[in-house]
Amino acid sequence: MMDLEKFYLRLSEYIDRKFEEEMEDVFADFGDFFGRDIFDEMEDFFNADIFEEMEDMVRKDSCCSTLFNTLRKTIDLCHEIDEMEVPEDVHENLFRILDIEIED
Amino acid sequence: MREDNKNNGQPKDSELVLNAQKGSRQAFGELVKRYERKIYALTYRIMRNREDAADTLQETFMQAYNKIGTFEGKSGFSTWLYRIAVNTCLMKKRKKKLDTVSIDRPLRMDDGEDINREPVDWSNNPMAAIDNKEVKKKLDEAIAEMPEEFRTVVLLRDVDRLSSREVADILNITVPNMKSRLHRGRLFLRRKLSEYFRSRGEL
Repeated sequence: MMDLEKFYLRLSEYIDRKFEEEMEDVFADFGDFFGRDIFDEMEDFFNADIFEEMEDMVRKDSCCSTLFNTLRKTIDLCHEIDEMEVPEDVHENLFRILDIEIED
Repeated sequence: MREDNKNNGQPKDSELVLNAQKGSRQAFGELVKRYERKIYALTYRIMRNREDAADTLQETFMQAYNKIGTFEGKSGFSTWLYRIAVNTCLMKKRKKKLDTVSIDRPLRMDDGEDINREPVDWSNNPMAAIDNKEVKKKLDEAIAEMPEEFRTVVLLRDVDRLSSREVADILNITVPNMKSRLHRGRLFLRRKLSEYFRSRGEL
């Protein structure tokens, strides 16, 4: 593994761990007032924010910048990966086995 | 996945679940229709062949049907369904010994990459456009090549876009453990795509 990837893993795992610990503390204090979903959404929001901050911090270094740019692109591509159609025979078989009327 | 309340004019998952629990096959059928594509895509990408994906899809919904009475709604229906699907896939793989990678094996991803090679930025390459079918095909192949412990996490988090906690709950692992696998999985994919662009001389 490239040193740069090791650096990224160490840094992101450190941030994730710290963040998770802190978030659990906040949840312990305020979990009675807000649902778990809110905390999960916040966590995802802040995580994305942290990722961008990391990106800004290391952008001056061309190697780090490349890692972040290509990693971000990889994630974007995953988000847009093609949906998959269920083959017609598989769909029909599923509904037949479940004894559910097909009403497409 | 928080789509439960976002079905314009359609009954919520929770309403369908309630009706299914009361014995409505139509309600359960609606849930099947709502999720069969997502579950099939997941099982196909984990099992890596059509036949096993179809079997696993069936088993998942059969189990969901048989156990719907025990679903308490502590998590969303989709999270519960994904958990059944992932467990069914992993059980099936263990049985068939398709994958010899132990879940307890330390996470490593060294695969002999040339560490002296300068990383090259392909993120703005026109070939990397998100509507490029060839790149998407390459990405699908890279996902198929990923070690199991990364693949399921990446599929649930980055492809199906479930929250970190939902993915951790589905896989019965801690959130930090899930994120650790996610970071490694993303790096694995990034490296495969870098190799692809390099091989095409696009860099």
